[in-house]
Amino acid sequence: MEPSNHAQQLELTSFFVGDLLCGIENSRIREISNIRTITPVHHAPPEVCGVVNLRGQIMTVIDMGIRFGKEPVQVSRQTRILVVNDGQEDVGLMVDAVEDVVSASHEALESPPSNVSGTSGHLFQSILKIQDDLISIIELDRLLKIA
Amino acid sequence: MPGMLDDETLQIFLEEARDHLADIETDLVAIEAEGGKIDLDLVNKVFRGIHSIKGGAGFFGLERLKELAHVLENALNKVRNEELIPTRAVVSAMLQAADVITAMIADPSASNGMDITEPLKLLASIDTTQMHEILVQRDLLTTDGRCIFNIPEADIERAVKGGKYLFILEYDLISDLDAKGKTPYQLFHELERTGFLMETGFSIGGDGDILATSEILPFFALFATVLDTELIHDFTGLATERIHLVHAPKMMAPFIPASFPAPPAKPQEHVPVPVVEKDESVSDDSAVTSAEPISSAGSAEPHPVSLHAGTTQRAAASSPSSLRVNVKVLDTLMTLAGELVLARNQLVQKVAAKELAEIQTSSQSLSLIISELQEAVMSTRMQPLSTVFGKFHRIVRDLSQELGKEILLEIEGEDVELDKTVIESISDPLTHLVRNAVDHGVEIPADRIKAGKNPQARIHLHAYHEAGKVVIQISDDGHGIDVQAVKRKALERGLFDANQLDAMSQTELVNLIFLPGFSTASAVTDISGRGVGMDVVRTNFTKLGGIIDTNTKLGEGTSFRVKLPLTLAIIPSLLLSVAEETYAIPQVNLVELVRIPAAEVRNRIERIGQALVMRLRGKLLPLVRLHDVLGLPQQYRHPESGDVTPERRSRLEDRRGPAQEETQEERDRRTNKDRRFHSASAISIAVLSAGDFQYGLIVDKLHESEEIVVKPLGRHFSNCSCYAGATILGDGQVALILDVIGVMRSMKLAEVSSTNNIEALEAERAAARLSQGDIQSFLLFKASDHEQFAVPLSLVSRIELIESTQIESTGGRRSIQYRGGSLPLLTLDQVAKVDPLSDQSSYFIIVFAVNGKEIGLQVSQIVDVLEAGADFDEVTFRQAGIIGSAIMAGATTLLVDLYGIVKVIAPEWLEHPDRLARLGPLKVLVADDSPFYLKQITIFAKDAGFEVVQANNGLEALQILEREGSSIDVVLTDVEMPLMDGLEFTRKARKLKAGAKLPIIAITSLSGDDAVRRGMEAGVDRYIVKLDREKIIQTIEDVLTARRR
Repeated sequence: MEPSNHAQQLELTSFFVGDLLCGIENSRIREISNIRTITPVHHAPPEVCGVVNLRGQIMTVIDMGIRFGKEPVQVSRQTRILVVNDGQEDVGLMVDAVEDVVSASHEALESPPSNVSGTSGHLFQSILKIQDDLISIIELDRLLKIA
Repeated sequence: MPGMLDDETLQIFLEEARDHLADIETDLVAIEAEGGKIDLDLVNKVFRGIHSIKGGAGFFGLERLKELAHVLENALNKVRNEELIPTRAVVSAMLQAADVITAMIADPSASNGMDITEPLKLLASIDTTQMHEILVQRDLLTTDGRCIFNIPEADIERAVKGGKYLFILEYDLISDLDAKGKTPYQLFHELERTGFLMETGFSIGGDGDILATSEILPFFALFATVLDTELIHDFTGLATERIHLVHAPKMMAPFIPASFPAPPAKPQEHVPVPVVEKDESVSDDSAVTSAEPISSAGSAEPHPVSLHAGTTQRAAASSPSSLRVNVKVLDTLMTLAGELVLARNQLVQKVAAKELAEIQTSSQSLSLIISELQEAVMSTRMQPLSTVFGKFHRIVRDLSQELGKEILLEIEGEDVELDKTVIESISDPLTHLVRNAVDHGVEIPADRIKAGKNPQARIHLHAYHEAGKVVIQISDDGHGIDVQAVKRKALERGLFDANQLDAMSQTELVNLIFLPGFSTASAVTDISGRGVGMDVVRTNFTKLGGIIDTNTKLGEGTSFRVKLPLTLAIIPSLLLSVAEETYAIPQVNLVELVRIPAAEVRNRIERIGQALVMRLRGKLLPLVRLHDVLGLPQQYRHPESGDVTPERRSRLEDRRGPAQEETQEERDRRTNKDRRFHSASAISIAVLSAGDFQYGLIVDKLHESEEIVVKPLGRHFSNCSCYAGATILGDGQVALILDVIGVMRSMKLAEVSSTNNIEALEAERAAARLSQGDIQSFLLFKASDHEQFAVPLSLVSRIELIESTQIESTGGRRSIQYRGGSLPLLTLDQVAKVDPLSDQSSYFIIVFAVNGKEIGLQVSQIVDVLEAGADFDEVTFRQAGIIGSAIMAGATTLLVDLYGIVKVIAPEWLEHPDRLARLGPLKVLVADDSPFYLKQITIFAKDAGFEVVQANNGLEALQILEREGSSIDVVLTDVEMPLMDGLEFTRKARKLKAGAKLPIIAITSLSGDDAVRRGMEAGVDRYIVKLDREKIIQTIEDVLTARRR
């Protein structure tokens, strides 16, 4: 990650988890993949919905709905898997729909409240207000830390 | 840090250092073995290795490493010059120094913080003159008076021996190396070709911060060579002003000794002042500035310093680990990649042209190339066993020294190659085996001489290929494994009883050493008594898909043979599925596949306690359902429609109801023959071996075998011990690979029903059957979580599983519709003060008969059927509905009085047996040695309207009969009794006048045709089973009616 610079623009990909609009910095996203067959892994933490074959590598997929303590993601044609890398391995984040690519300046960011529509605020690094929308920007390293 | 000293350069250095260190132990031990006869080549080899480590260390600013390497190098030099004899002490000191160097290489960033006083002291102690030499330092200056190096006098003398020049070469890292794309390493190698590189170092000069102001990064090399200044100029391409001559042979050139007027900042003389601070030579004032310690080297993770940095640790330390690959292999890979591209092009063309036949040929050639490619790629991972074997010289040497043993270690086949992962994983278990051989295997010389053997013991390590696998054999010529000692130990530990042990073959006995917690060494020693037993060794090899077997001959030695697969990356495996999910099991863990046809399920599968077991060729094999392992909901696949519905049976073995229903089922089977052909209701079992333990895994479907590529699972699954990894199937789906040992652990199989337990249980049952006591079968069940109950199995007509919704409540009584009628239901808590029946969606109904009427006892769980003696406590827990208690299956068990319950709840069901009253007042003689049964039968008889006379054994009964004679109307006698048994009593009674025609009914727990026949021969009228009140009363009625007629 580039050190944040006030002059720099923040590039985000926004997506829905349930009705919550979230964002992850583009620099952390490797690719966005269509939903594919997920092999369930029993005894895994509940947030982990299984593994998929990502071009020959086994990738863990996390259900963002459950991760946020909400309803699991309902698989539909809109469902996508965001592939992010946590420094050790690729991890897929299953989200309800990918919305847009947004760029914003760092000044537009606000610190997150302790609770973002029912989800603990510590999973977010900031909130971005764009027109009428609020995008909750995910603190990825914390998000991927699943006990 | 100079910018060019990036990770890559450091990595190259570390890798080279590791290479040098890899053989150093072996070589040093060999040098020691040679003793006074110095093998110059060998010493030189070690010397060169340490020397080049020293050079690199100086370059990277690893000062401590440099210092230690330097001292070690000096010592080696002495050995080379035959000034120092490599005695045991000398080599020990060198080995210890090498250990520390190894640890430093493993963690370069921490090396400057490591304590090297110990090895330095040791090295100094082996040669007292050396310390002095180290301390006599000399400053070496450039022609323009800068002091660059501070070198021990002796080193300089040695270096210039034989008419050599000594130069300080001043390089600029930026223009001389970086710009030319050279690494410092290449430079060192170049220099070493024509001379001897004594020392390297940085200087940023005394006159300011060059780094900040100029584009020059000076780097100095102290170089001893036979080349003169001019030749050096030609050779190195350095400008003459950057070649500083410090020593020329025969004083022909300007020689600038240390005593020469030095720059103002320097002390005039620097000669024999003893150095107090260890690293003064490098932390000297302005002139020599050491490079910063490598602290930002990204890959250098902190590792604890260990004096036994073995191969594995080194491998673990190098992350990201790198591998040296033979250029030939790389060429092959290149060629194959080229072919692959061509084949792809062809295929693409032909697909475009839609030429099917051509496509087929292309795909064939493609698959051929891919196979070759696979092989070639695999070969890049192959490493020689010498990486593991190498360290054994040292281990054997150190241990034998410690134990006072003389051991010759012979190694054969170190060039046999195995996959990198296999090599890394076998290091520990192999070390254990070697340590064992040294510690327990071979004897001390005195004992060997006594036994008429060569005082020097032999340990032989031999690796070779056999049938596509690699075999490693570790043999010693020691005293062998004492099978009798093993036997005693097993007995002591209570692992087996004497009979079992006597039945074992030699091999089986020897293999007992692989059981957990087994060690034949009488004393726990430091060497092998580390709490790691042979069971761990075996588990480790098993995990790799290896097999270990043992061969031993008392007095002659022991040999372990380990058979290992060449690689772990691609493994043959069996695919199977459960609930539409596919899993893979490594073929090495698979013993056999068993399919139990539906018709045999009941006979082959049973439940012991909580564990499910299968009879397989006379042995009991614990079973687990993959469903349960994975925590899946139970599902039932309809045989015809294939529809999957939630499983209604909670127990697999209930497929055929309990024992009493057998006849009914037999009939069903006959009339409905095709039932057994429904494969869907058959059970598929994969019999797996996890080390010394075998179990069966019940799955829905068994598929084909496939070679699978093992891929790791992400870190989020670190807690899932059931999986060994994942693989990608032909259709692109991911399938998880089951870890056979993990599954076993997760199901606590080993605890619940280890093979021993089952055998013990079987033996117990057999013993119980054989013993002469009053043995009866009891049905154990529960109505709530805690209390355990029992009823005599003989009273039970059937057991049914019902849904709670089937229960109807009418007129205050509960019942179910059953076989066209209504079956009244009772619960224990209606009568006895026990925990209420737990709330469940389904219940078991124990069906029994009272007065010809069937009644159901509703319980929550059937625990077991077992045989037990009449050892009942009829006092402690006695209450309404409970006759007594006993310990059964490890728990206090209340014996239920079925009859008593009915009497309380529905006395009208036991309408008074006036049919007996018809026969008039009757007197019954009851003979039983068990107070419990005596009492029970008395109660039955009294309830039925009899007058009862009690006798405690046959003799008493006979006396009563003689005394009271004709007043007795019927005799109920036990068969097994002390003093006089029931049969003897009968024979004697028949001879009495009163007993000749007296109805005598034998009541017993002994059943079987033989027992009945013997009873009949003795003259009993009927032979019935105890505690079956209905039958007892009925029988009395029958015999009396018959007599009256």
